Amino acid sequence: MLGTVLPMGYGEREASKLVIAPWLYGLSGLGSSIALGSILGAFGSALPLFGDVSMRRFLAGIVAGLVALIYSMNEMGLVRVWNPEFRRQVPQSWSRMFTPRAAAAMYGAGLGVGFATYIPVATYYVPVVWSFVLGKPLWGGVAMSLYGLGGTAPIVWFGQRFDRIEQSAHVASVILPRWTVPMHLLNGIVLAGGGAFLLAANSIDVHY
Amino acid sequence: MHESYRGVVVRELLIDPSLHPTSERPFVNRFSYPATSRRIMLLSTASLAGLVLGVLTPISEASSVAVVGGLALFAGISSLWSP
Repeated sequence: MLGTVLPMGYGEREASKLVIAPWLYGLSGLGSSIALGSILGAFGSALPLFGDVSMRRFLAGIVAGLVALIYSMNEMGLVRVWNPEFRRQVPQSWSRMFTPRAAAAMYGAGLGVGFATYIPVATYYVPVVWSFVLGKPLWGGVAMSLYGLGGTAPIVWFGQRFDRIEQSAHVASVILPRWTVPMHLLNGIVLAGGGAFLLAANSIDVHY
Repeated sequence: MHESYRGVVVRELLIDPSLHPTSERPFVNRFSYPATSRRIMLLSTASLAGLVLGVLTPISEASSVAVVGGLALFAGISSLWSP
């Protein structure tokens, strides 16, 4: 998105317009991720799971913890686990078919939900699974809002900071590829820690 | 270009990145995965830390959402690497 949304902002700047395309991308991405979490929670609440609210919380924690631990090994490059994803890019044609601002908002909506495109790290699946099994639209929306925030805030920040296409191209083609391995390792570490936390905390809670 | 000459040029570029048009491109893959034993150690340490924190922290929806939300934030930031 660095190479797609940010140039829309540069175009606005060159035309002496207010630079709002990255903001529209950010707000739209945030909104769609909140909507995804809420919808997952709503669908999950319709599941005929046994038990009361505390049993749902327990199940959500255990399932999300297990998913996190399994995918932590995947991110660390120790085992290969299948990642369900469409492996598609958002349509480049949108930038020609729509106005830059409308296209930026549509790209944000598409990437905010995550599963419609490439999923670079398996960490994404943990809040998705947790939101669904917990079955609470509010908490699902809160958890997934942080996914949207993490994905769009850097783009908005770059949009304010950069004013030339060479800068975003440098980040997209040089800086980010260089940090790919540390990014996966860091995700593996937080997945392992978060997964163990969820498993332990929920097991202790049920024990008492 | 003759094969051997092309090899020399490539080596020159790798030795002296200033000769390369984008200067940093030969070093794109600067980081590699550490040895398997080191990765297992990292994973074990992180799991142990999470386990201890999980035992010590009273679980609630707020603490669960904090942990899951933290993971979601990581996933979101990592989506910058999406092509």
